[in-house]
Amino acid sequence: MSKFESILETLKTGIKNMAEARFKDFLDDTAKDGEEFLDSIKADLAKWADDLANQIITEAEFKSLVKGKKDLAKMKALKARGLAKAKIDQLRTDLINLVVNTVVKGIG
Amino acid sequence: MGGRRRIFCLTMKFMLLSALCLTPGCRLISPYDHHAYTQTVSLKVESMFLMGKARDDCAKHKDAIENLSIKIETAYEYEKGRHKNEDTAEMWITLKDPDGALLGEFIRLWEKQGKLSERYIAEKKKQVGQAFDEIIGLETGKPKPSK
Repeated sequence: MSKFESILETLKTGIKNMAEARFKDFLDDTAKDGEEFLDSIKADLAKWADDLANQIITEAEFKSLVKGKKDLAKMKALKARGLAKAKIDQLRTDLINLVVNTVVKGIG
Repeated sequence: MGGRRRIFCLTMKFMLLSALCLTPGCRLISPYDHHAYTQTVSLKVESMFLMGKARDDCAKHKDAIENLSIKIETAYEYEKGRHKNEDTAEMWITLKDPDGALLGEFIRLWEKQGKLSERYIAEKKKQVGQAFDEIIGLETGKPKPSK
């Protein structure tokens, strides 16, 4: 294997490991957050329906709380989208450093 | 020697491309902004405090409501003006929309009903608090600005 091919192989492995490390935790955290949120919807809806039946809250307040869950889901999705962009930006920076360091070491 | 030269030329091309990709126009998201962070945290505290007053008649807190509304709008305009900050800006729109179901709607309902129920206030404070936390969470997750 030539030195150039050896450098490319090192880069391929490095890039793969880097991408996995960056995104695996992010995906796991996002999925977990989503599951917890879905669980909370069921519990809260039951509680609010009960409050409405007992006239502890008004109908307008009940609707507001239910709709609030939808808006929170939107907020979470926007945050996840933003954080994904941040991860990609960071990956680009790390990738550049990896390439430079690998090539310098390889030709050294 | 040919191989070394080839590697060197490729590296130079890559670095030039990378330098272009690292310019602000190539980033996907704005960097962390400390003013935005402290502003959001401060507005969360103010919002929670004001929401807690909604057992009272809305008319008694008219000035406080107006002051908070102005601060919220100011914060939104600041976020809207930041480059590559669309996600955060959209979060502020969702938060303050009087036709939505978070802070903007809370204020609108308070003004309409005059007073709000204790249970509703407690539950809506949780939702609005969480909404602010999502904005804060995104801001702290943004890349640190390069020096």
